[in-house]
Amino acid sequence: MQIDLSQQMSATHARNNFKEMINKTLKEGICTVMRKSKPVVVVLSVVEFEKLKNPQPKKKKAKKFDLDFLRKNSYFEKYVGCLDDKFDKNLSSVDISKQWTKYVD
Amino acid sequence: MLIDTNIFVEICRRQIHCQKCKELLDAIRFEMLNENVYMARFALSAIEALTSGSNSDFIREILLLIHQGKIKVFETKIDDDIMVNSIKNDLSLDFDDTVQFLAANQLGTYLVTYDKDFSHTSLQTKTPEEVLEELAANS
Repeated sequence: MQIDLSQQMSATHARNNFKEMINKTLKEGICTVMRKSKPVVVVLSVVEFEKLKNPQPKKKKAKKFDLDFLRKNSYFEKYVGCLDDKFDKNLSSVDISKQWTKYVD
Repeated sequence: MLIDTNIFVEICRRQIHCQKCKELLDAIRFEMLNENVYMARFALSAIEALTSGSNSDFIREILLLIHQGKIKVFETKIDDDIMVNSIKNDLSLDFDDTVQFLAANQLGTYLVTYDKDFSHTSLQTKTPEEVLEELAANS
């Protein structure tokens, strides 16, 4: 296990300098507590912990953004206005979205 | 990005932002976005309810995007529902908006919406116009 020196602290030092350990963890994101030169405990910042809990899926490589292509090859064009007759003309999309439970069958 | 229900409704209702919403969904369909796209489970239910009895092809199209992994669905857990009930009054948001707030925060992303109710919160929101402008600038 490779541990950056800046991210480790001895157990004795951590015990006697708890505040320093917290500050180091906040700065580095992680602090590994060493006992007899071996890593025994890892302290994580909340940000790093959340990343660990909710790992983000890998991003896909996107195709080049081409607005002209999208306009010429629009797939959703055929759905424009497909609900024109269903709702009050004066309601905005935000209003309709907020009242969606009214439309549950 | 997390997409709010009103973006889909804009298209179906041919509203003033319809063109940009359509371009955004088309960009998702043609995989031109280099970030993950999410929608909350209830937003999908909302579109299903709003389109029921009318145009079932539209919801089928959205479900296909989900099936193809182009849109991911954010499912709330019981813990999230408890959290939503605890914080919605503090945020002065309704239940649905609080779910969107929580989902975007958990996903570490922003909400694509025309809803102004989030303006007093810490949640970052963008309109499809802003998303498309950024995409064009970075391409």
